[in-house]
Amino acid sequence: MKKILTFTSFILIILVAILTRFYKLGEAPTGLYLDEAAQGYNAYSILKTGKDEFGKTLPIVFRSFTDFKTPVYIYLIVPLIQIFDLTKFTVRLPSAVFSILTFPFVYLLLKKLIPDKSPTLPLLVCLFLAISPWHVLFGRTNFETNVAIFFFVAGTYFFYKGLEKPLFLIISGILFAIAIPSYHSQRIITPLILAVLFIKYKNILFSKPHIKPLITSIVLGLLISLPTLSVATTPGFLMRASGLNIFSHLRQKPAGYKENCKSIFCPIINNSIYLSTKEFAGLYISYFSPRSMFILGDSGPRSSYPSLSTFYIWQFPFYIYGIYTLLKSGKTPKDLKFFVLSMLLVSPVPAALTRDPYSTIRSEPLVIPQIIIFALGFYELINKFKSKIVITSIWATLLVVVMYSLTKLYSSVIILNEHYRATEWNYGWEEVSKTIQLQDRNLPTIVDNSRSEPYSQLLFFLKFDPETYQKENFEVPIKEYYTNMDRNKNKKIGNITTRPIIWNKDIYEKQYLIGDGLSISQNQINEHQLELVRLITYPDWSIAFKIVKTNPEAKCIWENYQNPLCKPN
Amino acid sequence: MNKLKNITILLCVSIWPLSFIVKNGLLEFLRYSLLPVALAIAFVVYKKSSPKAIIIALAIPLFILTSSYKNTIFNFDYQAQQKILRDTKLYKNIFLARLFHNKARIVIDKLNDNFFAMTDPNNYFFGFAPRQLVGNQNLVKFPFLALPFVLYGIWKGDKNKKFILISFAVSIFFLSLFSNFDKFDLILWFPISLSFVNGVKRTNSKVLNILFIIFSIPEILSIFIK
Repeated sequence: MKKILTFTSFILIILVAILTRFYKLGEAPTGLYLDEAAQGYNAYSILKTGKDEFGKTLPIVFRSFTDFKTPVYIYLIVPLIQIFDLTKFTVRLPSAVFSILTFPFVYLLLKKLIPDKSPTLPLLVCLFLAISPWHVLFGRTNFETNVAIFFFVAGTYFFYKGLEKPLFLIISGILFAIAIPSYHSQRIITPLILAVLFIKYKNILFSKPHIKPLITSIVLGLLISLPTLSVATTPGFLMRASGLNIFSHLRQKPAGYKENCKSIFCPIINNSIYLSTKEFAGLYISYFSPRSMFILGDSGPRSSYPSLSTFYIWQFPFYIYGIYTLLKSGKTPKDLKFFVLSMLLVSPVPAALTRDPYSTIRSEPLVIPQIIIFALGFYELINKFKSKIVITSIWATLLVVVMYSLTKLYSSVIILNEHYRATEWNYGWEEVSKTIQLQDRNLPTIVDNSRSEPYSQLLFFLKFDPETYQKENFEVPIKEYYTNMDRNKNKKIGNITTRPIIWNKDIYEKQYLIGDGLSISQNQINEHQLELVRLITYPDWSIAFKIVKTNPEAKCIWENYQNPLCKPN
Repeated sequence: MNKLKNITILLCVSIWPLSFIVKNGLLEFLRYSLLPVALAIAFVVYKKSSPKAIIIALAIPLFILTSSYKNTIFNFDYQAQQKILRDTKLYKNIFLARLFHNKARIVIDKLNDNFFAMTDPNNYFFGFAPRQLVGNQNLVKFPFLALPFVLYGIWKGDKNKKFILISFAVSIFFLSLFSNFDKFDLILWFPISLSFVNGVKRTNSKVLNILFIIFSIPEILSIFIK
């Protein structure tokens, strides 16, 4: 009976998780961010030609905007395009699927770590994860981090399983090896956690039954990691780390640096060791700050939902009580305490090394231990009561609160996010692409890229032939793919060119011009005799894009053919 | 060792008052320092009289706090009201709109913002960095290396634990009702300093104390140098 109840509860929780991740997947957010489009198009290019957009065969990391995207997610999209075509739904599907697949491993891992094998705590953790704004956001969008968490959690589960049955260590090694290239922050988190697990359980790992599977898992892990290791010292691979880390003082001064300091004490107060240590400490502590967790959330508009933080405010008391339970009460099983503390302390490290405050994408593995702490707090609280009426009331209250939270999630994700964050999600390029396809294909089109880089979205929505694109566009020689950081921002997509509009030249050619409200103002439309083909607005009715057609004849007549670019009739 | 601890304590507890004076002037400091001074008197009463006197002892700072009320979170906020009106129009279902966007939310959100700002460790040890608060001076209140000592002091607890926790919690509650708690939060200097002192006294590591002193010197100098 108990098993049936547990199984039913787990299925219900999975259904809630599926609802929160799959409802309007691909439609909310409506826009497709340029990184999402780039990943999708590179996957499409791999499917069609075996090469990425630059013509590199099966890259180990994807050059894209010289941000060298991690490869696992992109390769996961490839077979899906064959089934579902190149759409927003397709490129976001792996996030959603792996987000759901994480649940059974979280459940099983927690059951492993709790000696009495009670299902209540694991079920609570899964329930909180199912409605977690943090986990939901990255499960609905094309970000690699959720996929990385799946491999990491699964690898950890099989590690613990391997401590009892050694052969599972091999699966663990393979999964950890895949986790590392899945997302940038896993390059730090996975090795650190592996080191911690290795030190903690070295006696078991080096015992006779375990030694051969351990060596096999290490060898297999290294083999899988070989491609990654082969490019590990290239500027491309290190690009993210070198560009964003707080110790990179060549790019910007450390926080708290006093410019134009004239005092004799300036070398002391501007000392880089002191400032960098303080900056790192401040950034690191912010990941445990209740203000960040329950009020502010991530400051990035694509890493948060309006009116919603990373956790719900009602979880705060359980956070405090959970920490107390974890550290002081002695009630937490040793293995669980070790795992939670390890993940808690290690997960924010890569994020805290970058200057962005409270970056939820880089620290997403932190959602697991923090949710375990909430669940622990709630679980211990409910265990304090003996009366069945009181316990039932508490569970009923939790159910009501969870329903409220789901409604709040719907409000923020489906309603408010579409209205307030459309710009940040690059809404409008799908509409632009549809409009382009309806226009005269013989006329060239200039798409302004002064303030954005729309080429990936245009390629995506137009499903432009990758082979043609690779031939028509050059950035760096293929042998310098991982080493040459030069960029060519101007792209050619058939008749379409993405570059800044050159007003004293482009209006004298018969073509289409596409740009945002700043690129193409109403004054310019009037002055240059342009024809407004389509005005695309954001959900809040502000101007997103203008598609105009030049009228060189009218312009020249208006100017009496004074401009040398005017071609007389 | 005792001398080292005393230097550590002195360096730590002097930073908030010094940065307050530099930023606001001595007169302002004397005015707002009535709050922690009153709390200190309450502490002495608590230690000398019966522990139940804590309730009476806390009345002094609370009286000063309540009589300092000029702006509270209950004051009419035109911009917040307008935002609610705008947001409710986005919903097809009026019940859903009213559930999440109503006048009560304005007060609750402000209360939450204040409460969590004052329970944010980055507030006290990093001047709210990396997420500074708009409309706040974002003063550095304690050296950042004081955090482990404070946490250790809270963890270990001592006979003053009850006073520290109650005075901290009550002060935060009342400060959360202000529309801007900046400067008034100087009252919290006292309970946090007590925790720090407790942490230092229970730490017998010369290295930690020396490290603390070394890293505190630039913090103190930064207060005075523009």
